[in-house]
Amino acid sequence: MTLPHYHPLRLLLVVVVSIFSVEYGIMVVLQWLVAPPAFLVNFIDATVLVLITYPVLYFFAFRPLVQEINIAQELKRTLQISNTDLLKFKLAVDNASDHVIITDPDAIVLYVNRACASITGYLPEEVIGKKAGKLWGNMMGRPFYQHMWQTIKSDKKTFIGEMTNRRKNGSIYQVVVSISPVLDGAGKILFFVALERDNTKQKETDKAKSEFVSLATHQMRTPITVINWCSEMILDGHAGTLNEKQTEYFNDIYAASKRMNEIIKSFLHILRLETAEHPAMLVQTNVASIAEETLKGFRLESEKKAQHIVEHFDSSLPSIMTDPDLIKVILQNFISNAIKYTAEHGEIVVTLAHMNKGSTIGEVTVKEDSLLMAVQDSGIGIPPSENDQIFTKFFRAANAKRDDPNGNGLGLYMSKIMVDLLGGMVWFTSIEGKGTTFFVLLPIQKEPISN
Amino acid sequence: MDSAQKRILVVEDDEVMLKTLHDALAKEDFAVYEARDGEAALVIASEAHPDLILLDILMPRMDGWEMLRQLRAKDDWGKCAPVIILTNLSGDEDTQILRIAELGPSFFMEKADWRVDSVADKVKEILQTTRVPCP
Repeated sequence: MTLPHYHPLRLLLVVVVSIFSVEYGIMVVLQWLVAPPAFLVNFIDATVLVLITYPVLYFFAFRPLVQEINIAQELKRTLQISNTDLLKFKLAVDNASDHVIITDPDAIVLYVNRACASITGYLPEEVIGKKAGKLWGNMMGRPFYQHMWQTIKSDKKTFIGEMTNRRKNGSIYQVVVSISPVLDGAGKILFFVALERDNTKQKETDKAKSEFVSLATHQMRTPITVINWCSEMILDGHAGTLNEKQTEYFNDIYAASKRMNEIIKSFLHILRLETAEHPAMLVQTNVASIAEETLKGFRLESEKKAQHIVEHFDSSLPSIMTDPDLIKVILQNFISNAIKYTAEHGEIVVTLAHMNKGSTIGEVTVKEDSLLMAVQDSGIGIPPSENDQIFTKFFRAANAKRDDPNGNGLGLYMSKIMVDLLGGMVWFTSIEGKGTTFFVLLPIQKEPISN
Repeated sequence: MDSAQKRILVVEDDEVMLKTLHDALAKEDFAVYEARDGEAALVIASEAHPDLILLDILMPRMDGWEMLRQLRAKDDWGKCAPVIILTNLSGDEDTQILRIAELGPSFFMEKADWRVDSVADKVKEILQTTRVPCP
């Protein structure tokens, strides 16, 4: 803390006035002792002098000093509070159940919390000063570490991933890890802070859960099969001739049962996408032939509504590294929606195009060489107020519900998960009452990417 | 019994499904044998050497995959007897894919996705394309 700077003249004034007033006071007292008659006059003089002097002293000397002292006390209090806060945070980090590691820019460990011992088996003193990756076994492949260092060191962003590590005793454990660089004002890396959560148990629970659902699904599909097959036998006349009303009712039962089967299958599909370790199988894929094949499957449905389907496929589409099964389901979802929500005689345009880096699609700029799949309909459109929710689970737009009360609100949600898995992006443009276009942009990858 | 009449063994623990499959196959002029679990199926299969086995997976006592494993290991006939797996377990699951690769059924059908008469059609199709005994 520095003392306030007084102007030398102000200091001089304060000193002179002080001495002068003190001296004058002493003189008054002496005069009262020696010559009482002169005292009264001099007493008034002295009082006036003091009345003038003290405000001057107060404004020029005491007040700034008191303020400085107050500031100093305030600072001290703040420091104490921050110290307590720091202590609080340190206690919290020390005792957190997640493993917290702080390293220097070269991954040399500077700090680990107590969870280090319970998760990895290493005591803090065995770890500090050593290289982080080596300690836990360096068990991931080279591309994983390359991607990780690229993210935290070059891009200076947070890396999140799942890792398999080795404990001190050699056993293997699974963690979800998040590593963030801590930068100084100039953007230079000071530290890396890593959080690791042991999710071995989580993985086991997930597995048990998905086995349970798989079994439960089987159990639900068994009565559905019975209803389906019995309805078929009756409807095909194997149990005698039905009258018109009976046929109608059995058709209703049959349709409802088939719909139930579709819902259960969607659940299973989503569960698999949400929990599977490797939900996408990437191979060189010819998207155009998948689109052709998918459209063929919908021909009957679109002909029933006398709709016109246009294929706009670029003549020179590259094959891309992607999962053909997921591409098929994505296209199926978009095309079936397009047909469902477009009136009779409407038009549906399916586009496949090679988009170069830097080109634009509406307001979207293409960041890397990509393949565009777009399905444009001339249907009911999506109400603007519901735009944000269109890809959420079980959501159905109000007008879609009106047109088809039986949809399950899973198709677009599923498509979004799949496009995310394939490293692509999905969005749409829509005008209510005029039509909707769904766009999927998939990066053209030369090399397989790992999940 | 007509000598050209093909004999199908249906292995299914659900009585109603067994009945429906029986009726659908009989309608197509197949002779139908029935078994309600893997153990019984194994006995009938070894004795009767049916032309094709329609095999459920989840059943009491012995499941379909275990039955097929023992059938394949038993003798030359069992090694490549045509078998259609007819189940409601999903063929996309890793465990099912592994079993399919290991035990080589001729076809894998998810019951709820097929009409009962297309099951009969599939049986006909497999019988036409499969050669027994093993090539």
